[in-house]
Amino acid sequence: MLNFSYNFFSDLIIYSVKYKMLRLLYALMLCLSFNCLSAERATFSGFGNFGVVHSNSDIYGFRTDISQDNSNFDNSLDFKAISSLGIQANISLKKNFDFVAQAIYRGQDELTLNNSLSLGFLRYKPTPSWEVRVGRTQLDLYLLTEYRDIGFAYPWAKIPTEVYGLLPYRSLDGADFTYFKSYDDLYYRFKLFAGQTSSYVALDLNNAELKIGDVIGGSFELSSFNWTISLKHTQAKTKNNISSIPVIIGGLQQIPEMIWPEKNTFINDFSLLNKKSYFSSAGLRYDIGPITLSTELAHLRSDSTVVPTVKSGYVSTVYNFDKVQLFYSYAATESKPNEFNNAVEISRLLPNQVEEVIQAVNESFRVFSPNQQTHSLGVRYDLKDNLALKLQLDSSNVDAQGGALWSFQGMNTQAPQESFRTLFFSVSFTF
Amino acid sequence: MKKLIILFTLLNICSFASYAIAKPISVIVNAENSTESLTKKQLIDLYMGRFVAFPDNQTAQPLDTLTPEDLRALFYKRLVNMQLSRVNAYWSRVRFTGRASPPEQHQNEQTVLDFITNNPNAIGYVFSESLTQENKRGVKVIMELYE
Repeated sequence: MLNFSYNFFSDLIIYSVKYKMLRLLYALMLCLSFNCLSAERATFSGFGNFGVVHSNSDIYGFRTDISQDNSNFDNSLDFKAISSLGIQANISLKKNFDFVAQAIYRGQDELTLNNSLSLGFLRYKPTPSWEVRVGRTQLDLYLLTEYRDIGFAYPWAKIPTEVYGLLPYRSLDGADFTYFKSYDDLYYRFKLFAGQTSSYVALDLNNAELKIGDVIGGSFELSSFNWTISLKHTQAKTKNNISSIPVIIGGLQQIPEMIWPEKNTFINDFSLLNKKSYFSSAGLRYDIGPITLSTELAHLRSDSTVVPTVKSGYVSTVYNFDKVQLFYSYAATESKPNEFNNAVEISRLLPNQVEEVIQAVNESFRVFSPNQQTHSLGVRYDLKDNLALKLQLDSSNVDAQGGALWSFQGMNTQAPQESFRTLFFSVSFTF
Repeated sequence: MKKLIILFTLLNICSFASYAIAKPISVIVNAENSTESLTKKQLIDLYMGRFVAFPDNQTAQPLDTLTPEDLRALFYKRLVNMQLSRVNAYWSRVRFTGRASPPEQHQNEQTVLDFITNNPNAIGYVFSESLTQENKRGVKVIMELYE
């Protein structure tokens, strides 16, 4: 049996940060297969959520986040949007190590190891106070991001779209370090993480891959018996432009600098390439007798003008009976898309040449710019200890040009204001 | 007469139910474990995967007892005032995010007692009335949970 040295461990971290996830996984599996760590105990478990969604809107179709297809819908029942099925293996190893792997199906058109593997990490936990995980972990951006696809974990039929709909990312390929401290009545949890990830963003006509790298984040959780406060902040660099942006930039570059002196600055700010995005959130959960209150405020901003500053939040109250939970939530998101300030002047001088380019710029400014509010009312009934039925009715108001979170066919700049209702029913379970 | 029989039956059911609910639960560790007692908060940290260690910072291995059927439900009700479904919902947040694993499940009180007797870092729970002079030889009680 090999001795786990500092070098081996640091090599793993370098692997995780520098190379592709699959290479790291291969290295981990190779290591396990050579019995450098022998498994002491393996457990298998899983979770599922079979749900159906119906909306009375003819314009906006529900999707949990912007990675889900922006496809046609015919006002019928959607069985895919909130459904998922996952399996997990926990393998305890000797010498304070364990390995966790999880695969999830949540409606991917084509299942690959990369898009179905949601966890795949090796953990080293030498004392109860700290641990290091290397490999693929869930991206810990906001309070619920780590378990957004695990329906049994929360009372609602789906987590608030206003806060989470703009986040297509699920996992992080890299490493994290967590420190735990229990002192008097309080429990502290500090976590630092770094890595890279990618996801698809569903646009009008195609799905575009959007990679983020140099991800560095931290979270702090302070809790007592009946309350938890959580603060999180992450920054990341966008590593590529979504497919339409290079075409638009090409069009903008054709405009003579003589009539548009700010052109280069505008194009630089417009590009997503190597621009930083900043994700921050503050959450609170409080149990008062049978009532659980939870709230979260989130803030997203970017150095690229394509992504506006987005403020979002929700407040939710849950009344807990023995097997029944009744809940009411209010969630809202607000953003102010950037404007093409020189558009009028340029189009006056070059009316025929730039009309389409200006339209495309204004469209891009609204891809990540949601403006909407939702009241939710619902019930969860625990049929068994590991089986729950959920029913939720959402009443949403989407502002004009603010439907970025929905499946919408047409120009974002011409998206109308609409108020409508969406009904969710789901069966959630663990095994 | 019929009414009296019904009343008597109801009273019996009620007294049996309250007896079942009132049964104390003993939290037990290996007899060699240096832990003499735990606060309720420490036990919550241990059983909810938050800080899985004894006060001397030794890693702990919590166990769940599946039978008698009401034992596990009563234990969590007394510990965190939650139904088992809500405990499972909590654990699905912790387990499926890879934070921690839930307590290892053991079929009955005797297997829990045997396991703890042979494992210095294990911690478990049984109904206090199930402990006899013979079966509690390798373990010690560090806490009792009442209604």
